[in-house]
Amino acid sequence: MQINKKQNPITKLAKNTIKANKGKFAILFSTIALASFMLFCVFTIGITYLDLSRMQDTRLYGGEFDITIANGFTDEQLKFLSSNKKIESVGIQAYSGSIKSTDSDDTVNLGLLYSDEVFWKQQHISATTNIEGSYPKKYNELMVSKEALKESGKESLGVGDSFTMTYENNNGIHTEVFTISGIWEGYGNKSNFYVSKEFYNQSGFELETNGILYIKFDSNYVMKSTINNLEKNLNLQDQQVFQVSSYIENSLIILIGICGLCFIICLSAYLLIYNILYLSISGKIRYYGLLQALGMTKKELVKFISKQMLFISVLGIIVGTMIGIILSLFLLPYVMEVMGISNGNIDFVFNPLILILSIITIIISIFLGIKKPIKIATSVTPVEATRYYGAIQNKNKVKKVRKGNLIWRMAKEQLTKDKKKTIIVFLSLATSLSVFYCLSTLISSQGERTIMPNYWDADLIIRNYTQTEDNMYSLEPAIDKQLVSSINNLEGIKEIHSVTGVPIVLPYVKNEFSDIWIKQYVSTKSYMNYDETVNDYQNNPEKYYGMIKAIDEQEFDYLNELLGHKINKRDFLQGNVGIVQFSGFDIPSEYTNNEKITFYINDKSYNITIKAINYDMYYGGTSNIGANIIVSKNYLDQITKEQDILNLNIKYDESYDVNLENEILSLINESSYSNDLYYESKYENMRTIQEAQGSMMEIGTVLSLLLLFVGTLNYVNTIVCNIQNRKLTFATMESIGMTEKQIFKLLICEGFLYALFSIFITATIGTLLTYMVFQAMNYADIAFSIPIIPILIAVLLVIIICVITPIIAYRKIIAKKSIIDRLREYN
Amino acid sequence: MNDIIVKTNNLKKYYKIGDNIVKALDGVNFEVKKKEFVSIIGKSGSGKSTLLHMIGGLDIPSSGTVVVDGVNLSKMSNEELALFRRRKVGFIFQQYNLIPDLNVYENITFPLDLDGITVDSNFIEELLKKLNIFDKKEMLPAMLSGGEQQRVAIARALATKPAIILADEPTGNLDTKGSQNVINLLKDLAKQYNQTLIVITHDPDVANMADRIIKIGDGKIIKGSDSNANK
Repeated sequence: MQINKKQNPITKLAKNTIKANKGKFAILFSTIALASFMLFCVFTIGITYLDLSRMQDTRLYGGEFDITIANGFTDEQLKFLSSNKKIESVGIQAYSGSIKSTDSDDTVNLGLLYSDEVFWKQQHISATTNIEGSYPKKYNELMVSKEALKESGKESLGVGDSFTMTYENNNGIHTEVFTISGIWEGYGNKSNFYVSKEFYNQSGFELETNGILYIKFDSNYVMKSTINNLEKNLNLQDQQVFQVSSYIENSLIILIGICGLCFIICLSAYLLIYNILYLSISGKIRYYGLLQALGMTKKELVKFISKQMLFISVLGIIVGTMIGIILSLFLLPYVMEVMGISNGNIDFVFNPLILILSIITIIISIFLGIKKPIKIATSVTPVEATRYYGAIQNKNKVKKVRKGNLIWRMAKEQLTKDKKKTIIVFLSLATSLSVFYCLSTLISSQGERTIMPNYWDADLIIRNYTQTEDNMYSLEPAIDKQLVSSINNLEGIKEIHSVTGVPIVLPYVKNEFSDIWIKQYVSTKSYMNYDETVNDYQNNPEKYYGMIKAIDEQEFDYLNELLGHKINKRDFLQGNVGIVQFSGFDIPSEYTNNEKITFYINDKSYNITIKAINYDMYYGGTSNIGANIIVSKNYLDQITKEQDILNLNIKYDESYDVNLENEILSLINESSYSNDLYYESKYENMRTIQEAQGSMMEIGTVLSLLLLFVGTLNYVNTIVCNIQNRKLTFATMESIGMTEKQIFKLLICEGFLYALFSIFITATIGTLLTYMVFQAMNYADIAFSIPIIPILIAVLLVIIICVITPIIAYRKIIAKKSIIDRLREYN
Repeated sequence: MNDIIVKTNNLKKYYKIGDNIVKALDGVNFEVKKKEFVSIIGKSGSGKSTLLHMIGGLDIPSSGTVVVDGVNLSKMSNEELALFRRRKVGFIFQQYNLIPDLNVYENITFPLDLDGITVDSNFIEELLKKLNIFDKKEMLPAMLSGGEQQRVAIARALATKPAIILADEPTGNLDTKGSQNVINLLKDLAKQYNQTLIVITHDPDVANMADRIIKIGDGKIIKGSDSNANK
C-alpha cells in the first residue's frame, strides 16, 4: 500500500471549499475581522479613557497621588506608610509662610511651600510640562511659576534673577532678597513659591502641625476597603484631614464598567460569529450530508469545518486587529485633528496586553460560536440532510390562541421566539445606548460638574486688592463707578452685585469682642505676644482696623441661606444687626450671637449687634487684622457716602460667554488699577478642568459612538439572519394573501419593539446608572441634567436603524425572487 | 359565458436556465366552470403546478392571459394579487406550507386575520371537526403528522370560503383511504359553498372523482381543455 505524502485530503478539501465559495467565506471573514477590530478598539479606547481620567486628577491637583493627609502628620504615620507594600510613594509638602509684598507690589497674595524630593521628582513631575533650572537648595532660593511671578509683579524675571520680598513665617515678618533657582510650568496650584529645606527648617513651622502627606498606591485600581483600612491603621488625630482623590475612589468601578462593556462586546462578537456561522453551516447541511454519504466520518466532518474556520479566523483576526491598530493609534487621532474635534492631543495607548487579550477573547468567541452549528451539521444524518429546512421550528408543543392585532401579535411572538438571542440584542442595544447616554451626560457636564462654583454662582468676580495690613487709609477706588457702569453697559450682562466697604476702628475693650478677636488672632501667630499686641492695639487702634462691608438685599437673601441659622431680614436691612466674617480663627459663639459692638468711622461711633458668623471666604480676602462686619447697603448708605467697592459679583445672560468676558477683562486691563484688580472666572475654571482632561472628552465620544455602532451592528446582524431564516415563512404568508405592505408593517413593528424595549431599558436603568455615576462625580453639586439633543439624535437613530434594517434586509434577501421560486427553494 | 370562472388564453411560461429556454407552459387555453371539480394530471415537469400557480396568482405568465372570475390577473399589481389570493383563492400546497410560529387555529384563520375580519369561530370549529383536527387546534405544525398538517392546510384554504380551491397533490402524503376521504370532504365542502375545485394529482382514483380531467404534457393541454367535455 502506498503512503500518500501529499496534502491531507481534509485540509485540501477545506481549502478548495473556501476557494469555491469565496463570496460566502468573505462574509465570515469580514465578521471575524470586524469583531477583532471592535474588541481591540474598545479595549484600547477604554484603557486610554481610564488613563486620561487619572491624568485629569494629576493635572487638577498638581501631582500623581491618591490620598492627601493635611494638617500635619507624625513620624509613626510616615514610617507606617513608607513601609506599606501597597504604597508606591509618600511625598511631603509643608506650609512655610506667606508673601506680604515684593519691591514691585505691596499687595501680594502668595504662599510659600516646601516639597520634599519624593513629591517634587516623583509625584509632581507628571503635572509639570516644563522646568527651567532646579529645585531650591539654598536658604534664599525659590522655585516659581510664571503665574506666581506675575502676581508678585515680577513677570519679567528669569532663572538666576533676584528680588526683595516681605514674607511672614511662624517667626515673624521678614524682608529679604531671594534668587529664582527654577521656573516650572504645568498644572495644579500655581499661587505658591517653593522654598528649600533650609528655608523650611528656619520657618518655625513643624511637619507635625503643618505638613501634608501625599500617598500614591502602587496600583491604579484600589478597593475601597484598602483605603478604609489604611485610614483606620493611621490612627489619625482630630485635626488631620484624610482626603481620597476622586480617581482612586472611582477607578475600580470604572474598570469594572469597562470590563462589563467588554463583556457585552464579547457577547456581541459571539452572537455576530454565531449568526454568520449558523447561516453558513445550515446553508451547507446538504453538502455535509453528501460528504457523510460518501463516507466521511463525523470526526472528519468536524475537522473539515474546523479547518475552514481556522483559515478564515486566523486571517480575520490578523486583518481586524491590524485595522484596529492603524485606526485607533494613527488614523482616528489624525481624522479628529483634521476635523477639529481635537487639538491634536489625543494619545491612544498601544498595549501588547490589550492585543493579546483581544485575540484570546475573539478566539473564545469563535470557539463558542462554532460549537452549536457544528453540532447541527454533524447530528443530521445524510438522509435528513437532503430534506433539511433549517432549525426554524418552534419547539413548544402547544400555543394558546391569542387575541389582538395580528401584526403586533406576530411581531411580539417573533421577539419571544428565541429569548436568549432577543435578550442579547436588547442588552447590546440598551447597553450601547445607555453608555452613550451616560458618557454624553458626563462629557457635556464635565466642566461645570467638576469645577468648584464661584460665590453665588458668579460668572466673574472682581476684587479690589489695594488694602495693606496695617494702613487703614490704603484702600483705593480700584473699582470705580465708571468701571462698573462700563461693565453694566456691555451686552449680555444679567446682573451685577457690588460689595462696598469702609475701614472702621474697633476700639479695644478688655473681655469684649475686640479683646477676644485680637487674642484669637495672636494665637495663630507664634511670634506675636498677646500683652504686647494689646498694648500696641490700645495705642494704635487704626493699625488693627476692621471693615464694614455692605451688601444688597438679594445678596443678603443668598448669604442668609448659607449661615446655618437664618437671621431676621428686617433687622439686617434696617442696620440693627450685622454678620461677622470668619478670618481663619475661631471666635466663641457667645461673641457672634447678640454681641453688641461699637465701631468708629471718621471718629463718629456706631453700634451694631452681631447675629451670626459667615464662613464663606467671599467677604474675606482684605488684609486688615480687625474684624470684617457685613451689613446692609441701606444702613451703610445712611452712615457714610465714602465707600469703596471691594468686590463685584457679575452674572451673564449666558454662562461661559467668552466674548463678553474678554470685553470685561480688557476693561480691567485698561484700568490704571489693573495690577490691584484680581478676578475669578467661572469660564477660566472650566477651561482649567477641560485642559486637565486632555482628550478625555474626545475619547469618551469615540468610545460611546463605537459602542453605539457595536450595538446597532449586532442588531443588524441578528435581523439579517432572522429574515434569512424566515424566507419560507414569508413566502408562505404571501402565498395565502399577505400583502407586501403587511409584511413591511410586521417588520416595522418588530424593529419598533426592539427599539422601544431598548429605549425603555435605557430610560429606566440607563437613567438610574447615569444619575448615580453623575452624582458620584458631581463635585460642584450642579443639578442633574442630560444633553437632550445628542441623546434624542441617538434615540432617533436607534429607532430608524431598528425600523429600516428589517425592511432593507427583506428587500435585499427576499424581494428579488417570486413567491413560487422561494417556496420551491425549500420544497 | 357567465358560468366560466377560470379562462386562460394562449398562456405561456418560459424559464431560462443557462442558454436553454424551458417551456413550462406553452400556449395553454382552457376554461373551468363555476362549481366544477377539475383534476389536472400529467407527468412530473409537465407544467401542472405552473398552471395552478398561474391561476392562483402566485406566478406571472411570460405571455397570454389568465382571467379568474372576470378579472385579468396579468393586469393586477402585486398588492391586488395578494388580495386576490387572500379572498378569492384557497390554496392547498403539496408541502402544506403552514406557518411554523402559529398554532393550528391561527394558521387556519390567518387569511381572515389579515383582512381584519371577525372570525366565524363556529364555522372554523365545524371545519376542524369535519377534518378531525379539532383537538389539535392549539398545537404547532411541528407537532403534527403529515396527514394532520395536510388537513390543516385544507382547513386554511376553506376558511375564507373562497370562490376557487386550488390543490396541488393534496393527497400526496396520504394512503388510499385517506386520499378518498380528503377528496370527498373537499368535494362536499365545495358543493356546500358553491366553490370551484381544481386538483393536481398523480392518483388515477382521485382524478376519476373529478367532473373533468385535464391532461398536460410538455406545457400543453393534451386532453380535457373544453369545459363542456366529459372525462
